[in-house]
Amino acid sequence: MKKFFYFIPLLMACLSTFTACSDDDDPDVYRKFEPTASSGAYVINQGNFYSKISSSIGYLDYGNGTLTDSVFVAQNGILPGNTLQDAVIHGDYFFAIAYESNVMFITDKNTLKLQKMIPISAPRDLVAEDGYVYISNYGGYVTRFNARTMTLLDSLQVGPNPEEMALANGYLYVTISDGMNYSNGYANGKKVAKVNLASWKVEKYIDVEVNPTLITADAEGNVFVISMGNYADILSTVQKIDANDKVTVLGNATMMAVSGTTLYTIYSYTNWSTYETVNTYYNYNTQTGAVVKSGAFDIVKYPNGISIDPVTKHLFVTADPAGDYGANYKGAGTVSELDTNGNLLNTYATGVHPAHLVFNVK
Amino acid sequence: MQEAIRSFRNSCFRLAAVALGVLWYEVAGASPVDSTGGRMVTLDGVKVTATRLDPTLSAPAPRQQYDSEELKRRGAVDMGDALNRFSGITVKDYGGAGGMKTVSVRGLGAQHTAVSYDGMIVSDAQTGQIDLGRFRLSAITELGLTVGDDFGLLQPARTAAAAATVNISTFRPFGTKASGIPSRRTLQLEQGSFDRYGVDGRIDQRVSERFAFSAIGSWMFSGNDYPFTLVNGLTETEEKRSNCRMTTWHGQWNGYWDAGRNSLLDAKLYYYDNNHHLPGVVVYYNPYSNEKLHDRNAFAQMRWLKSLNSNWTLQVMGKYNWQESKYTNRSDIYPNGILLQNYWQREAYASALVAYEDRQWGVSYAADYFYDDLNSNQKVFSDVARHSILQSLTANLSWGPVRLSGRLLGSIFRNHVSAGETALNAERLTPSLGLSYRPFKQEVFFLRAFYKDIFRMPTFTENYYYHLGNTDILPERTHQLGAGITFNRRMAAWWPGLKITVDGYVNRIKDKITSVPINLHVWRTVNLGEVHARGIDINLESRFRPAQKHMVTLSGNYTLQHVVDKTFPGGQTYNKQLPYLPRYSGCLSLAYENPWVNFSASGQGASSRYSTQEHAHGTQFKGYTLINLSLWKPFSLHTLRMEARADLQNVFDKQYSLIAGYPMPGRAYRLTLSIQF
Repeated sequence: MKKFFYFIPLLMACLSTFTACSDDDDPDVYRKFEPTASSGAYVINQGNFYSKISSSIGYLDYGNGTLTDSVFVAQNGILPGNTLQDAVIHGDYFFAIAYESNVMFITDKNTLKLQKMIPISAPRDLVAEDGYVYISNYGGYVTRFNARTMTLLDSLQVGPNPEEMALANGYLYVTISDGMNYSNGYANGKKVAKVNLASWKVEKYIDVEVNPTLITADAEGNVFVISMGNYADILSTVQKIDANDKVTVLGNATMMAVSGTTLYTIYSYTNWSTYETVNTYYNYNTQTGAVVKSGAFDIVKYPNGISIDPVTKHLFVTADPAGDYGANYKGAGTVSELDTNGNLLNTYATGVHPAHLVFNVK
Repeated sequence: MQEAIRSFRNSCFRLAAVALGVLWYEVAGASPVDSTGGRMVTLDGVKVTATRLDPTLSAPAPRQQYDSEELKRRGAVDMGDALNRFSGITVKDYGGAGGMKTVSVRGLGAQHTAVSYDGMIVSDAQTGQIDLGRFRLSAITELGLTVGDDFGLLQPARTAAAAATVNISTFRPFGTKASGIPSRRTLQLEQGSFDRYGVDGRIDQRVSERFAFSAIGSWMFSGNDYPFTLVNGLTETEEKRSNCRMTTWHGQWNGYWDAGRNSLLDAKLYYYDNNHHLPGVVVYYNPYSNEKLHDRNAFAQMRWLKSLNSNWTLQVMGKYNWQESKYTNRSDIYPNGILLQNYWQREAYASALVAYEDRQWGVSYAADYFYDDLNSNQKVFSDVARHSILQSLTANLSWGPVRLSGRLLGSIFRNHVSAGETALNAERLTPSLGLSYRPFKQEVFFLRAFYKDIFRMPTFTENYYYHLGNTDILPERTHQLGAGITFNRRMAAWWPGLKITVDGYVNRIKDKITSVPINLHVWRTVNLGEVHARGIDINLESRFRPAQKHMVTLSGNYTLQHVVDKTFPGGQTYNKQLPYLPRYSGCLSLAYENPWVNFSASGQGASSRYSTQEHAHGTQFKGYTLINLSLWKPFSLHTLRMEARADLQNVFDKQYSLIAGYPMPGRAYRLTLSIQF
């Protein structure tokens, strides 16, 4: 039954290759380019599913330096679903996925005007390249979407509970977490699937530390993975996968972003007896894997993620507010803008549980 | 002419009543239409056969009690409705027939509310709360709420070990002799909105002067796929709940044996089965749910009561309980495409009690022991068990218009696990005190006050659940202080009853068991927090008899509660009302019983609430008001006594929720036909 289910998109994919050229007015918009200007960034606020606080999308306008929350609902009148995971701008479109809502929103990249809603099963992450959007499905697949024809293509089985993906060297690197199998120690969640984009097959599995969740790549094809560990005795670690698929552990980290030859990481550790959270930053050289700079990170107490503007190279650290005891995952979050030296430039208030920023670049 | 006779009879009646002093109220109260008045205590030896005062008025702590007729008058058609007819209660309801329903009393949290089923506590050591939605209202003969302690001498220690108790009765009170059981058969059929069908059967049979039994069976199917309005940003869409059908049935057998020599024995066998689908929380753009839950529960219980002489009574009880909960969710996100969570709980319970009662005073000593254990198919939840030993010493003293009551409860808990760390054991000594005072001999007017100090043990989930559980937590303590007045009076011939109770309280919760985040994915249970609660509960019941065979009943309950967090002065949650507790809530109903068609209209409502302790933006619920209408008509067909009833609930199709993301049903009808033969 499942095979048949995936056969239909495959058929549609075959058909779409014939129609692709005629449908596409300007194929160049999907081509890789070096951005030269950025006008702002969309802020993906995940909300809080358990407290029924819906996700929202904010817009940080560099022009006037203000962050406006809930721009999606203001534009479209409807909410961007339950638990927005991530978004990407590709061509003229903005793609965003919502996990519990089983949906991908496709909007105009400048106005967020909704163009299409694509039903998709348990989407967890998305990346885009050459007119294709790749979506990881928590049910164990990655799915291709043809942005030129606006059609959902086929799915490829990769392994249990894939999380984030990265594109490098003509491959799609998919973290396989087996996160729902925590009671068996994430038995099948110790690898990264390396998917050949040309053949659309898993070429190999690269062994990494347990529960890999976050992944990113630099321009030279180095891939960095954060394995979250088991939230108990196995701590979260950042690892580097080089061009020969050799894996080296760099150190402890819970979030990261790469820019040029620097991998910026923050390690957030909560002591289970004192409930105190300590944040430390480590900047690594992407080529050598050596720590370039490190120290206490005390700009925010409960950081959630790092995003870097590819043009200004500014770091944007999203964070949850402090509660009376630990983080408050229901209150308005913040986005802190830092320069490459880690100096705080600005702090913006945003929606609940901000996760990522998506930069609007030209 | 008839009018004149009636008026004459009434005045004679009143004259006699005045002559009898205190008893006049009770006689009026015991008239067939008024079933909440006097209660017959017919146990030989223990008490002389006499009509005594309505216990809900003379008790030092608030007690509310409604029989099935009274619940009908108040327009309650299911358990959630019925519970809303009590003051001081806040019902949490996940919506529809299959939605879980729990109650918190006076801001103390659902885990402080015990549920007693025909005199014995129903327990769930895993979660600490009982889904009251599982009990079918049609099988219930009486529903009550005790706040604090009712200081009953024949009460096992365990029944006094909760801050509040919901009492469910499905047959006559314990102590009824077999000869007091009438022989009859009842069949009830119901049909309602959202594909609801129900059948209830009941046999009460007196086999001999010494032995009687009753057998109860109920079955219900409900589709529960009710429509609701979903507010999505600036848009409203019409949606339907899906994946919520349920099939449930329960069977029960009660035996009563008059063993002679002033000893009575009763026994019960009970089985419950509920196979339901869970619609889950409302998710934008995705109505699909694949969750199923199959609950089964069986228990056997027995009680033996013996009067040694006119003063001494002995009572022994035993119960064995088994319950199973099987949750499945099929989705490819789970290993092997399925999530299976099975839990099994067993409990063995024994209680012994000895009471001495004289005219002016009484004392009793009770010792209870129970053993709970839990196992599951979950690798991250070890097999856990707990021994509990509870002892209570109770004393009541009547001294003229004053009644003093006190109870001292000693509790010992011992935990065991198959692997890993054992949770902290606990020993506690907790007192409760009550006072009621009747200043005027001729008036049913009482002043009352009580104090109760009690706690709840951490549940197995709070102690042991993967990551969340913490074996080092202490019991959560509560202190209750309450005072009030009760009043009942026959105002005039046409106004035979006005009953009012007004109670105020101040409660404290200390060492509140709550969970704090380690990170977004991992939370841990700790003792953190203090809660202060204060409020007023009001009950009103007024009966008017404009003419013979015509009765108008106005009844209502009102709850004002200010329940706030007091954990961190100046913190984000400090002084904020606890989630899901409205400041004001209440219910008002008007019933008109007459020879043609009985009619009842009721309204219930609550003020706005928050779903988060922080009162986070976007987590406020609006207040609501609902109107229900009912018509019912008893009639006879040959030898059959029948009653037909039609209910229309939520007449104006008000959209509301009691739990965030779980909409409640809108307008719904219910048709019921009961046949007695």
